[in-house]
Parts: sequence; C-alpha cells; structure tokens
Amino acid sequence: MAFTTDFSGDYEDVLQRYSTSALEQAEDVASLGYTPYTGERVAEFSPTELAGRERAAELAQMGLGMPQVQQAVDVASEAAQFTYADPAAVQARMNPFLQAALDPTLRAIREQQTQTLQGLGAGAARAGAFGGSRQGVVEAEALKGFGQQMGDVIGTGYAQAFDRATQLMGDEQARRLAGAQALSQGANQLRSVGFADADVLRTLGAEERGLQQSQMEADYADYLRSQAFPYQSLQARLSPLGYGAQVAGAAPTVQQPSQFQSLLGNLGSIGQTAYMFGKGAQALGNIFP
Amino acid sequence: MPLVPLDIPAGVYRNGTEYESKGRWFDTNLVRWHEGRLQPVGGWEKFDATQSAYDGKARGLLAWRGNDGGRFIAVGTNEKLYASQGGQFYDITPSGFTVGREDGIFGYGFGIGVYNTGTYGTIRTSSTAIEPSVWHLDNWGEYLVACSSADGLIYEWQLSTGSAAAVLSNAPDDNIGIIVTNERHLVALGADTNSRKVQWSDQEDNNTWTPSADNLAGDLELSTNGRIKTARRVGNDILIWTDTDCHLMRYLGPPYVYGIERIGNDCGIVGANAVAVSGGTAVWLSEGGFWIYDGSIKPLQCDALDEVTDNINRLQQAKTAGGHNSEFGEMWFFYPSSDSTENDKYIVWNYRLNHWSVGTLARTCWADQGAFNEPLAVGANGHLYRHETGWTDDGTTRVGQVYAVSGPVELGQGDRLAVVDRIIADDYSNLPSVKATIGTKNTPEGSYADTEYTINETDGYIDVRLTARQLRVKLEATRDDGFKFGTLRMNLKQGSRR
Repeated sequence: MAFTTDFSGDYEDVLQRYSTSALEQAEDVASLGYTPYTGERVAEFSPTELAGRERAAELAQMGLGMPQVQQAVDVASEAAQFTYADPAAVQARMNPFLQAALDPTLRAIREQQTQTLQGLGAGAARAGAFGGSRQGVVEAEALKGFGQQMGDVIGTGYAQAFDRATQLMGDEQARRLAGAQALSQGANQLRSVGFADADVLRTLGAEERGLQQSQMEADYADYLRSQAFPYQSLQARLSPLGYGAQVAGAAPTVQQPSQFQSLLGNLGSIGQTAYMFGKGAQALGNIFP
Repeated sequence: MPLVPLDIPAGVYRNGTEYESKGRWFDTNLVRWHEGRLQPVGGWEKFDATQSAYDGKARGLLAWRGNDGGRFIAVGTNEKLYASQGGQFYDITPSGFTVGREDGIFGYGFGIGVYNTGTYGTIRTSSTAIEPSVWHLDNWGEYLVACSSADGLIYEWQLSTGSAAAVLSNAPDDNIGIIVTNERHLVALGADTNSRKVQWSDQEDNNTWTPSADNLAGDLELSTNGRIKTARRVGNDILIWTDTDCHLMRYLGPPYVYGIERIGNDCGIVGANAVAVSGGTAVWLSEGGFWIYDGSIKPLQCDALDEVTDNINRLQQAKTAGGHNSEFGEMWFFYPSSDSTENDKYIVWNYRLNHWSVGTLARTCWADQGAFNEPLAVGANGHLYRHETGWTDDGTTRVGQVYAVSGPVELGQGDRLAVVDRIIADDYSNLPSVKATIGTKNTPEGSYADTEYTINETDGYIDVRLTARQLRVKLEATRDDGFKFGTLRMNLKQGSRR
C-alpha cells in the first residue's frame, strides 16, 4: 500500500486527508495476515561437524585401540599370575649344556674317590682290617664326603642355572609388561588422536554452523524488519496524530543476538572439543597411570 | 770206687722207647721240679665241702674280684651256669638255656659224609666228630659275660645272686664264643652262625653292635680255611684260634678299630680251652703238638709229646683244658686219654726251666690264682677244688700216686756192668717222706728187678748191692708231705763186659 500524502490545502484538510490516509494505511496494516517465516531459524550441523561427529561415533563404536588394550590387559593378567614354581618353565630356560659343563668336575671327583677308596682298601689290608664292616664305615664316610662334594658341585651349578633361568624369566616378564604398557599407551594415543581429529572436525564444523546460524538469524532479522516495516511506516504516519506509540507497541519486534551470546556459542563448541581431549587423556591415564 | 752223681736233668722225656729216655726221667705223677729240685705237686681240697657236684661237666671257669673287692667264681657246665659270691654257689643259668653236649660224639646218620656217595636213604656209618659244648667266660668290668657253644647266645650276669644271667640285647646270635678286649669291646667269635666272623661291640657298650660312623662296633672275617674255636687275651693283643690256624687281632684305634692277621698255619687248637696264657705268652695244644706264641708262633718242643698224641682220645680231645699255674711257672694241660671219655691225664710245661712232666689228674677246667690265693680247678666229678693246698687228694692220701721214675742209667754205652754198693742222698728236707726203688736189668727188653730202699736221713747213706747194665730209680712219696729231692750220688764202679 502506497502512502501518498497531499499537503495542499489547509491544514485541516491536509490533516483530514492525512488522517484518512493514515487510517486507511492502518486498516491495511491491520488487515495484513500472518506471514510465517519460512526460512531456517536453526542451523544444522555442518558437513564438517557431522563428519567429526560421525568420526567420533565411529571411533567410539569401533573401539579403536581396544584390541591392543585388551592384549595389554591380558599380558598384565598373565604377569600377575607369573611364578617361578613351574619347573618345566624354569627347566626350559636353563642351560641345556649344564650337565656337560659339570661333568669334568664330577669326573675328577669320581677319579679322586676311586683313588681314595683304593687307598683305604690298601690301608685296611695293611692293617689287617680289609673286608670288615669298619672298612665299610670308613668307605661310606669317604663316599659321603665325595657325595657331598659332587652334590655341592651339582647343586651350585644347578642353583646358578636356576637363578639365571629365573632371572631370564623375570626379564621376559618385564619385557612383556613393558611391551604391554607400550601397546596400551599406543592404543590410547591412537584413540586420543582419533578423537582429537574428530573434535577438530567438530570444532571446524561448529564454526561453520555458527556462521550459518548467524546468517539465519540475520535472515530472520531481515524478515522481522520487513514484517515490522508497515508498522514502522504506520507509526511514522500516526505519530503526528499522536498514535505512534500505540502502533509501536503493536509492531513486531526484532531481537538481535548479542555478541556475548555469539561468543558463548563459539565457546561451547570449543569447550566440547576440549572436553573430548580431556576425556581421552583421562582414559589413557586410567590405563597407564 | 768213685761217687758218681745221678744227675738226672729236670723233666720227663717220653718220646720214643724207655731206653731213649736214658739219663732222663721217664715217668712222673704229681711231682714237679721247682728250682731244679723234685717235689710233689701240692694237694687239693674241695672249695666248699658242703657243695654238691655241679650238674653236667664244667667247661668254663672264671674267678674274679668285684669292684668292692669281693671274690666271684663262675662255672659253666654243659647243663648249667653257676656263680659263687662269698663262697656260696648260685644257679644263674639263663632262662631258656639250651643244654649242650657233655661228650664229643660221632655224627652218624643221614647227611654225614661225602655227598652223592653211597645209597640214598641209608644211615651212614662213617662219622664226623661233634664236639662237646664249652663255655667262654669273661668279665665286662665286674660283670660276667658268658657264651656257651650250646646255644650261642651271649649272656651277662650283673652280680645279682638272685637273678639269672640274661641275654645281651642286640648282641649277635649263634656265636661260638666271646672275649672282652683290653679296650673294652665285647667280641663275639663265629658270630651269627658265620664261623669265620669276628664281631665286636661298641667300646664300653656291649648293647651296640651295628657298625656306624658314630660308634666303634665292627666285624671282620678271618681269612682261614678253618672254623673259629676260641680266643684269648695275650699281652696287648687277642689271639684267635681256628681248628687250622691262628690269628692275631690287634687294636688299631678308629676308624678300623681292629685288624686281624693270620700269624700261623697248621697250628689250630684242639679245643676251646686247650690253651694256657701267661702275660704275653700263650701255649696251646694242636693236633700235632704244642705251639707257643711269644710275639711269634713256633712249635714248642715237648719231651713228652708222644705221651699226649699217642694216648689222647681224639673224639674227646676238644675237652682239653689248659691253665696257668703262675706260682710255679707252669702251664698245665688236662686231656682225655684213650681209656677215658673225660680229662684224666695232664702234661705240664715249666716255662721257667723248660721241662715237662706228666701225670694223672681229672680236671675239666682251671683258673690260676689271683682272685683267690690258690689255683682253682673243677674235677671230672663236678666239684670245684682249691689246688696247691696241703698234700692230699681232698683229704685222701696220695701215697703211691706221687712218684718220678728215671729212664735207664748206664755206664758208658752200657757195654759194662755197673756195680753200686752205696747211695748218698742230698741233704734236703723231709727225705724220710721218700722211698727209692732201684730197678736193674741188663737189656732194654728185660724186666726190671726192683728193690726198695728207704732214704735214711740219719746218716745219709743207703747201702745197696746192685749189679746191672741198666739201672732206674723210682722216687716215691711215702707220706702226704712235702719233700724236696736233690741229687743222688752212687758209689759205683765198672764191672765186667759180661
């Protein structure tokens, strides 16, 4: 509706005409129907943000690093049950050439034992005590000494071999634990990196969505302004008539998002990203304290 | 006419014929030469006149003092074991003791003889001698330890007259005998049915017999082809006899404790008690004669060996009992003659002057003086006697039993007759207790014509008138009294060569 004003004539007429025109305009304004806003008011996730979300969901669902973590947990559980009391396990780690290493010493002792027994027999024969039970006692004592000697050699050799084998077993366990720990750390790192990448996408996407949201809000504001224009125009027309205020009260208002609200929106996205980073680090921290 | 001393050396010579004993004494009974002079062997009397005879034959006798000085005697017979304390005898026969054999027997019957000869199922008449049972008695401290070959167990009696001897726990069974060493080991001979095995207990502990590193018990087997018979302490060592040889068991100390070496072959002993020991010297009778150990073994020359070996009852020879009579330096051996199943003869070696004498006296075992003032011996009649006391046979006269008979006395080689008209006796005590019987004959195969003369101490002269190629002198006690007879001198001249 075009608003035309003819200011010719006297004031009364002008006012009459002005008033009539304004009233007609007011009627027109009042006759305006409801025009819904057809634009988008809320920006959807941006493709980047969706990609980030999907990546995060995918990471969450696929359990990135979980096989390695489970493997590490298995190793740790196995290590918790580790014992040196398994002779076969120890035996398997002992020097396979141990007996061969001991044999020369044992052979020398046996030779000495034979010579000693021969000497005892000769001494007994010289003393007229050969073949008696006392010779048996003397020989038994000598044999006991040699037996102890051989036992010491064998025992010391096997003890050393055992200690070495258990040391090897301990080393193996330490290496396995270290490997498991590295595996777990790697898995956590891998998981964290994955989530971090997803968060970056989500952050970038959030930024894009923020821009899109701002655009939508701007469009919506334009829409509101266009909707308010007849009223503003009417208000301007009626203001001289003293009805401007009433028109202003009936006109639709436009609320612009403040800068603070925009900042909060941006900060929310950033915080969400930071939260994701924080959760990942915490998960790693729980596995590898 | 010169006075010729009839200087017959001490000791009997009975090897060979009577003529071979020319210039020696040919026969004796119950006499000895002490310090070179002939005198009667001392008499004997029952240890306890009220004591009845032992059951069985005594084959072991031991006299000792207890720690408090009390005197003990142990007598082992084939049936019993007796002990005396304070003169009264008690039966301390162990419970369950197996009565042994009194006599040696021939083992006729099945299983005797060489295997696979003769017909199966028939009793053999060829025989193996089975010896009579003997006791080995010794002291473990003041206690008595004993072992009879009858059951082979080792018993100990701890001086309690009200208690029987008891089997030593842990000691080996089926032993032949025992001996206690100077080092206080109890030794089992032929232990555990092994007739070569010598087993000893721990030192000072006769209940510990299993050898180990923390005791000194032990055993050895003799290297012998014989069977252990007996053992004796000789000096610091132990001599062990088998029926074929002799071994020396010597203390070595730990660890072997004892060593045994064979020191003599073919010198086995005839019986468990056929040995007499004096300090470091042992003399024993073997099948072929006497042997002596005085640091080494050698045959002991015996001038009367034939009297023993020709007359001993071989089946009963294991009963031979030796003993030391330290007062006179004599070693006595009682043996069964061929006419007896029990010891009835004796032969004595005087080691101081190295001569022998023989006689008749039935004793089955002997213990030297020491614990008692006189030697003790058990008669074949089962009574214990004190010897070398008085001059009678337990109150019965011995006149007619105490004598010495010389061998032939000749002039030169006997080619001339000797004419004697006076005999002068030496001046020793109690000569009226002796009568001299001079026998004369001209050939060894002739018979002596004996004439008795009483030795007159009043003037010292015995007037005789004798002419013969051979003379012999028999000096015989006429009273139960001691006498010492020195040298006879004869007023003698040569007769014709007729």
